[in-house]
Amino acid sequence: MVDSAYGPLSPFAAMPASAGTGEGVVAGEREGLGIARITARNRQLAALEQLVHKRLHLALPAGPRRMRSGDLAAAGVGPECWLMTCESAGNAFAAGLRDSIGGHAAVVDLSDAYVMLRLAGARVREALAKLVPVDLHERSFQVDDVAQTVAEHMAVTLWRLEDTGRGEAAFELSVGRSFAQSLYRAVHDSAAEFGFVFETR
Amino acid sequence: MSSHRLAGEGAIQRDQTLSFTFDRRGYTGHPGDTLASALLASGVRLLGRSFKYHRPRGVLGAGSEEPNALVELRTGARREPNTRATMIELFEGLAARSQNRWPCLAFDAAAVNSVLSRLFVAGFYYKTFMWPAACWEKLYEPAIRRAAGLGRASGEADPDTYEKAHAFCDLLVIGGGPAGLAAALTAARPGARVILCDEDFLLGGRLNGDRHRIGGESGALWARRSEAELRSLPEVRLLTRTTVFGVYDGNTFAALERVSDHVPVPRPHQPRQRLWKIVARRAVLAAGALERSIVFGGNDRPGVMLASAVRTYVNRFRVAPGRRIAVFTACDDGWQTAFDLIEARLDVPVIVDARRDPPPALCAQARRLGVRIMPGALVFGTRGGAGLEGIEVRGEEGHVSRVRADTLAVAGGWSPNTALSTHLGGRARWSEAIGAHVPADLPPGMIAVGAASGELSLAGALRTGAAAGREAAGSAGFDAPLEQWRTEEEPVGSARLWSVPGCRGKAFVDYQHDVTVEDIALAVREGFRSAEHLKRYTTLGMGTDQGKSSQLTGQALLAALTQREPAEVGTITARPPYTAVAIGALAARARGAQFKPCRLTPSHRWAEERGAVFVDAGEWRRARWFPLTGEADWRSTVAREVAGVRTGVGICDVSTLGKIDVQGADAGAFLDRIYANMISTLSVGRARYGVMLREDGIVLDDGTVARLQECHFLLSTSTVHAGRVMRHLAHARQVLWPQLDVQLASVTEQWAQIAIAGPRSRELLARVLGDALEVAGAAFAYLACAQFLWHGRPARLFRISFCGELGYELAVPARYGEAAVRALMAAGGTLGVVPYGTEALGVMRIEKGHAAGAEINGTSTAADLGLGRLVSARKDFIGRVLAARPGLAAAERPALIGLAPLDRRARLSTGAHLLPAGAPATLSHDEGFVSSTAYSPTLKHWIGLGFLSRGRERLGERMRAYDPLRGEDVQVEIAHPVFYDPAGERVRS
Repeated sequence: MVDSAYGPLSPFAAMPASAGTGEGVVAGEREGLGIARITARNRQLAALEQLVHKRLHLALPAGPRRMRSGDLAAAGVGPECWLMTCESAGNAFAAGLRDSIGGHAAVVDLSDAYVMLRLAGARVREALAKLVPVDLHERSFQVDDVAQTVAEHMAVTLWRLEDTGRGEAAFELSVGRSFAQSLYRAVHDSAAEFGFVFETR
Repeated sequence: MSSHRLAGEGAIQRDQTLSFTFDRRGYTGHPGDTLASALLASGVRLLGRSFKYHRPRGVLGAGSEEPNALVELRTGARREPNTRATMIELFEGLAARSQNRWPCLAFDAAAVNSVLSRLFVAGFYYKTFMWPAACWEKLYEPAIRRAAGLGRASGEADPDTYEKAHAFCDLLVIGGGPAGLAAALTAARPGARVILCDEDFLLGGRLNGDRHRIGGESGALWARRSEAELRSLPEVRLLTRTTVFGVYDGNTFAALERVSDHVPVPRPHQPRQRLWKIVARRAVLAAGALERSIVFGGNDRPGVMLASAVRTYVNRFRVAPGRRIAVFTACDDGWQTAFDLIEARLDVPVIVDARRDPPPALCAQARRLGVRIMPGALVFGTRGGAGLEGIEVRGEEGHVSRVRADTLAVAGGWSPNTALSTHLGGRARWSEAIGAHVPADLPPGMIAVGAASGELSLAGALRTGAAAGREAAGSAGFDAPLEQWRTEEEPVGSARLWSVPGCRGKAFVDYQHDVTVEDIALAVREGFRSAEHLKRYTTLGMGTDQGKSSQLTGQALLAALTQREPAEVGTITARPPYTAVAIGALAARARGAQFKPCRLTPSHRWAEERGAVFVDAGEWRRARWFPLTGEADWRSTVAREVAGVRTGVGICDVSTLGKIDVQGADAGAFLDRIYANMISTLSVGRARYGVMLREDGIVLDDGTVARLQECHFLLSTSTVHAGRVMRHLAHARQVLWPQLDVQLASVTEQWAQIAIAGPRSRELLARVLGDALEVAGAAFAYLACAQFLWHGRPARLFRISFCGELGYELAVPARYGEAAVRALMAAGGTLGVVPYGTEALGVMRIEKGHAAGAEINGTSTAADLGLGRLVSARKDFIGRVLAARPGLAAAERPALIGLAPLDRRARLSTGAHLLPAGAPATLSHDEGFVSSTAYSPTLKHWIGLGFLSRGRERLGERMRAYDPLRGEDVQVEIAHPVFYDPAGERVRS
């Protein structure tokens, strides 16, 4: 039974949607994403890698990198531990993964635990430089590089996407849901001088 | 007002005029001017009063080392004291005021201090205000406070914003003079990532103040072209108006960019200042050198200036600091000032060189220009009032002559700017060759070049700069050719002249703190021999300038007075920051509402709509209570909420509690080692209360453990300890027992968790869940747990209760938390459901005698808390061994007890001491304390929890709850800590 009144809530509904002039930094919320943390069971790493490769057609990356295959992606966030995402799959993603690879990995649904912002634009690196102590130069932080770091005392996960069609850098920045408004405010303020726009669907 | 502006180009834009005021009087200047240059151009020479003696002071230098020309900049909330006129970039409408004077700059009442200077000798704080002690608060401290400090803060909130930013590079170049530009160009041309910082708004350093030539063009033009080239390179970031002020471990540097200090008000969304944290593979210290003055009588009179500064005002700003400018030098470089002045058609009455034999080439050039030379002579006194009128010179043979001059350019030699080289503890080394300290023992990855390294010539600067740039590029994998620039070798000889013997009048070493040569002599007589002690005792080198122009001279004088070499005396260790940094810049965005991140609960927006009053609990912002119109005060609100739960049903967002997902074949065994009680025996679909200890046997945290599946547990932790418990578990898994098959994940953020409590909670849940889950009594007994789908989404239900009523906690994905709360409120309307906040939660847990943060406080054992029966004797677990230490197992340990006032109207306060009835209030009678108190709306009187030695044996005893802090003394009765439903029937109903 699905009740229309029982719906998800975006934490950004009441936040200011733009600042400054121009579109130096364009942000959007990655809604509906299925997010799961998978941790290999003891001494099951090789088996897990094989299984993921066979069933999901994805090679689990070693280290802080992200691998993609269709709607699926896996980002290395710790030893034998990944954050997997699946477009539009929501909470069902983790349930499906559990059925598929649960014998070799602990699968935990974190679709609600994180709020993920997609940030792109000609000035996005300059805005992010005010937030995270990570070298985001294109040679240092390449497409699909992953960083777990802090932004204004909030634990965040950051990865780089392919450049946009306009050749501008793009990133995804995740934070615990309870921090969403605080992080949004920090991004908003940091990007304001370059022109900040939050796009809602 | 007579104009001192010279013809010719310089680095100012003459086609534009800027208006500004100083002490409310109007003046004009040009873009490119500093406040100092614009005031000098208008003939203003008196800029401030000194710290101690309130002596008139003018401009000494032309850079950030300026000790004298400190002013209050801007007005109102933006007023900023102690800004250096030499660093303030002129802007339209600038308003500055002199400081440290009363009633006005020209006449200062406190200048009488100068007459009383015998009282204000070195260490006068330590001597004068020693006794009687009674005078401190009433007399000495107010007097010192009135006299101390420079300038006044605005006293208002800063209307501007500040921000922080991070930057990374292959090479950080500190200083944009010739050496720095050479390093940056060499490294950047092949593609290395270069950041160049300079505190000036114009790159070029001495090239702008001097008339050097590089490769056939003027040095200033070479600097402009180099800057343009650097700007064109994509991997180069030029930060002007930026001071690198600190060096830290890990090749990390702190820099302050004055983004908007040169405009009246910051542009929209621009910060006033930006604090940069720069991580650089290599750093080039090209901070140049600072010119020293010479100590002689009256050397602080406005008009006495550093020779290089005089040159800078003439060449860069096209300002004549005076009409008749004498030169007093101990080095070759001072002569260049005289030559530049003559080139600018200014009158140079004499060059006094302390050396008997200045280089013949310089003498010949001076003669050719028709300047009188006095070799082997010394300036020993000055004449004039608030401005220099003449100097007194003692010639080689001892004869005295007076020379009329309104300005004296003093060249005491150059000291390499070694400050940043010592921030990580390195020591500067005395160089006999240049008579100053040079960097040695540099921080890892740092190379000193140019004047900062003791290479005082332009050719040396370009050569060492290029070599360092090449080295830095190479270390980043770029092969850089060694750039070469053609320039002439200028003479850089200098003598050691620190002070002039036989002076007339006060001879200042440190201008800002009014430290004279006599003060140093006194310090030596009183036994101070170390440079660091000299600094503290005399205040030499303290203050806003940190003695940049005086430190070395003071140390050299100390050496001479103690018959030692300067190398033996050494120098002080400079520490960050190099120049003053505003607290606002260090705080950046972390002020006001953005002081720290704030975690909001899933139902926050709904709670706001209900008019909840919030409380910040750690990082979280939680609803404290939900007032209704007409309620007299918060206590009646809380009483209503408690009664609503105890008699009907209430809901509360408890999502803030930590939740940890534990999986794996060995999860049960792992948790047996984590918790003091047994976990592995828990059945699937059941929950249990658990307590975990620290390694030292003290209670770490408590909470529930639910077994969702055979190899899948869910732990709850207290809100405050969530992070700590997660770290504790991760450490145990990774370090203590890596062989166990256990996987951990924090799921605090994933689940919104709503407590539904009260006798009618089952009814409410049944309405809301419908067919999703059966919650009828036997189907879902006390401590049951279940996972199910609700509205097609995952959900979990736990039958646990913190408040002592029949209760449940419903968990839904966090995004649906608000929807779940709204659904419960809607379904509970006819049941009279009340939302309740943390205050009611707190009252109910005290009524139930549950320990919380005030009891699990880092000093209590499980036995102290009455949880001793939980501790398993059948297994090992973290904290077991040390919990058995004699002290932790002693019979007289404090035990958790309840208390109630004998007079039921009396209130109890947290923190009160428990004393035997009738015993005097002394420490020896202190037997415990009150940890938590609340007014119980259920019992209609105050109740409390506390710790009392042997407390469990003393139920019924009457004691004093003595609170000297609040002046309260209440007779209490010791009771069992569980005031409400001690048999626990209600939770099981």
